[in-house]
Amino acid sequence: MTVPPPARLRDLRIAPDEPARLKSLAETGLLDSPAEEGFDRITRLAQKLFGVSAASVALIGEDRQFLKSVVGDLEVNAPREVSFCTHTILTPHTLVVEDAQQDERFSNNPLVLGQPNIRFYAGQPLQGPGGHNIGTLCIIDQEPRTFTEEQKQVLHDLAAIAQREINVRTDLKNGAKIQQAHLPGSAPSLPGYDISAYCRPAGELSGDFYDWHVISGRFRFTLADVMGKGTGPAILTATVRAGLRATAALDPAAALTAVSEELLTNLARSESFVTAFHAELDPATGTVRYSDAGHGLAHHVTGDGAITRLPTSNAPLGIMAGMQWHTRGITLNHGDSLIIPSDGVLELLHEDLDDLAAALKQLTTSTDIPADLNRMAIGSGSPSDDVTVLILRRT
Amino acid sequence: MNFTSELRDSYAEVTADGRLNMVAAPQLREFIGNLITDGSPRIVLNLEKTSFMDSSGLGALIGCLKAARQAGGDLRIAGVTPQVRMVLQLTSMDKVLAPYATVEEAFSND
Repeated sequence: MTVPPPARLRDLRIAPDEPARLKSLAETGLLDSPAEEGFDRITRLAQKLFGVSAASVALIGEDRQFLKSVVGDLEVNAPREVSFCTHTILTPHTLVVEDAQQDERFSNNPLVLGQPNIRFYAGQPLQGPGGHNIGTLCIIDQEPRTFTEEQKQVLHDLAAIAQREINVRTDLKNGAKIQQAHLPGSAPSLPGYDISAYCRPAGELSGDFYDWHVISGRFRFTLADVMGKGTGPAILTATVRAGLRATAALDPAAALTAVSEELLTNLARSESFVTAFHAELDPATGTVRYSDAGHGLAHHVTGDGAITRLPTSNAPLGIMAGMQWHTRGITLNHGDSLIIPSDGVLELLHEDLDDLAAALKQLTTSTDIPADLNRMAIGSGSPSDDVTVLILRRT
Repeated sequence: MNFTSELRDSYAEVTADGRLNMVAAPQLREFIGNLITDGSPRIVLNLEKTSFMDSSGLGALIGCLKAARQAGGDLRIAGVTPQVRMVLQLTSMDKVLAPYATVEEAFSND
């Protein structure tokens, strides 16, 4: 079913790909997003290069125009029917209006008759996924002008830079979606236990991950951190996860050893390494058999509030051939928790292990882990690392 | 971060001054890589003035260690500050790259 456009938009020319165009715009996540230096740099440059009063990256939503980036005196939101750019996105070409007062499409436009008194306009369409015109890079001025072929080329080149920003951003968003899909969904139902986890990447993609699954009645779980953040480490997280899943029949330490050997070349080439806490719970007894490869941040909190940091078995995975890890055991009694943070949480607490222990103890009884971690992040200034926590509590 | 090197009798001493993070890590790799290429694969990295190291910094240490060993030498570290020591201990990297108290001790037994 097609929803008719609002009455005020009925006279507006709209391209036949409008529904797909709006979907494409939504996929970029740019509408109503805050200003970003990547785009602001381009509008600043455009304004200076052309010596105009204003430049913007405008996005055309269903019934309004939103300026993702703007220099000069322009409203961030404007009704679509008065937008110049809504005309620009009808074709793949640059739209140049040398004098709006002399152009019948615009001579009665309120933006021409009143503030900001547009006389000159030039806009180059920008595309979202699927090649739909979602907006423009445009310049305006209060004086009529001629716009040469050479200037058109410059605007075209600047728009290509803005286009690249959009493409990279969309690519990262897709990557993030796929990475999110690799995290396990809701925790398995394990009578007598509460399981929760949270992963917040510093950017779009994360070098941390957690995983869990139930195999032959045992609860197998992992929290791992690939050195670095962003796209490179994010690719490696998928490999490590797959490796640990494939070795689920092995004892946790043997699984880590196998994965380290398997990934040695990959990790060496990418100059990376992986810290991991890999474990298996027997739900009936509360016994956790775990192996820690250079992660070093897992804590055992007992029902009476005592907290112990669990020792590592050996250095991180992927450092050198022939390394061995060992499995240790602890028992979770009723009321005990096992909490494993990534080192991003330690960074939030200014690298202080005592503060970390205190914060982790609180998190084990938290009813809203993301909110509590956000509070810690705000307190610490601007966190630069991925933040991940996994909590296993025996009720 | 600022790097300097001085040739001693049987090794080169590299001093790293500042924060060994994502920005400085590739710089350290390059600095030590050049030393190795120039024929000094026995290196002591003096970390007295390294106030902070993150996991990228740790990655650079591992990379430098491998490069030095591949060239028939070794990389040793000395004079670590409390935060760097904590990172080495937490990650058990001190089992692979044990910190020496002083630069002089690092190669004193071989």
